[in-house]
Formats: sequence, structure tokens, C-alpha cells
Amino acid sequence: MKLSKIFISLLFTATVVMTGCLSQSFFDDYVYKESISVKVDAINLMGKAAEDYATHQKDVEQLIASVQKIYEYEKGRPKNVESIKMWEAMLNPDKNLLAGFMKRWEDKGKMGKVFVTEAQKQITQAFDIIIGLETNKLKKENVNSFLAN
Amino acid sequence: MADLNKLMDDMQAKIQNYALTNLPANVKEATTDGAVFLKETKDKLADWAASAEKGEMTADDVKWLIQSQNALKDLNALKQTGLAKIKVDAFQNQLLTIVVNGISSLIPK
Repeated sequence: MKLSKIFISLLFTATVVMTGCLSQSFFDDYVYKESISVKVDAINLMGKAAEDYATHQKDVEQLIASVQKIYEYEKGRPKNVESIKMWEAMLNPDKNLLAGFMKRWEDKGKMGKVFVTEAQKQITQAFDIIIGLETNKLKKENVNSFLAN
Repeated sequence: MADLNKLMDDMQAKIQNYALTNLPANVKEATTDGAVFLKETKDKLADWAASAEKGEMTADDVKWLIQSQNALKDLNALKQTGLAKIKVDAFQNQLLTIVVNGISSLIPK
């Protein structure tokens, strides 16, 4: 019996050590909801890019600020490398994603309708990729407490 | 000791079954996802080129969109990396649950 207890303890300890810590952050409801909200705002604002940038400059600045808030929040979450890099890409004006589109709008003043429609599809897909990763993350309540902490 | 052997056999069977069901699927998903993305890219390029020929977009517009597609490819790769990590975490979680439940069954109530 004593040997069994020792064996069980060793087996349990080995399993916990072996499994170690999780390698990805948990699902976060705030990030999920805010990502969807900012996606809707972004696509709607992009739809106005056939008009003068100057008219919408404040809206663009507010939108970028909203995305920056999500990015800062994401940076505070552990084991969240991929999501952080995705938001960095969205905020990088040199990458042809959200910030890149806004920079182009500012530089050109206004853009062609067909281009705007195609760019909206691209940015929609970018947001869907980000949100898609978040929705697949494990929920903390579904994870064994030994791993969750 | 016979109980322990049975427990070990039982846990091993559960772990194997879970791994076979879940982990290889991740490789298959990533491969399918990559193929879908490539096809999407080809279709988009064809549409953009057609729009440029009709004068609906400039060459510069198309160039920007192609570079945005490249950026999407990078985002997709990040997503696949993240999903792979999630699959491993889910497997670890299941492994620990199987072991904990197995050990709990040995503890007299």
C-alpha cells in the first residue's frame, strides 16, 4: 500500500511537471468584443475613403487610438505573442493593413471606389484572422486548475 | 498492483485515443488552410488585374493590394502558430485530466 502511494505521488508529480505551463493565453472576452467593435468601425470608416481625408481625419485618429488600446491590453497578457504581432501589423503604417490604408488615404487625399471596396475586403479578412485566433483560445474555466495557474 | 497496471493500461489507451483524434488533425487543418489561402490569392490577383485593365483601379492600387495580401499571409501564419500551441495546450489539459481522474479512482472514499 505504501509503495502504491509513493508510486501514485510520483506519477502525479511527473505528469504535472511534464505537462508544465500552457503555451498560449486564455480566451479573453474583452479582446473578443473590442476586436469586433473596432472591426465594424474600421470597415465603415474605410468606406468613406472616396471622400477627402481632411473631413475624416479626427475619425481616423480615434479609430487608431481604439486599436492602440486593444494592442496595449494584449501586450499585458502572458503567452500572447501571436496576437500581439498581429495587432502590431495592423498598427504599422508601412504594412498594407489598417494603419497602412489610413496612411495611404492621408497621402492621396481620397481613393478610388473599387480600390476602397477591395481594401475593405482585405482588412475584414485581417480582423477575421485576429478574431479567429482569439475565439479558438482555451477558456480558463475549461482548463485543469494545475495548468491554469 | 494489478489495479495499478489496469489503471496505467486504461490511461494509456485514453491518451493514445485523444492524441490520434486531435493532434494529427492540426497538421491537416494547417495544410488545408494554406491551400485555401493560395487559391484565394490566385482568385484575387485575377480580379484585381481585370479591374486594372478596365481602368477601375490603377497599377499602384493593385500593387498595394498585392502587398496587403502578403501581409495577410503573415497574419495567417501567426494564426496557425497560435492554433498549434492551443492544440498542444488542449492535449496537455486532457492528459492531466486523465491522470488526475485515474489517480482519484484509486483513492478509497
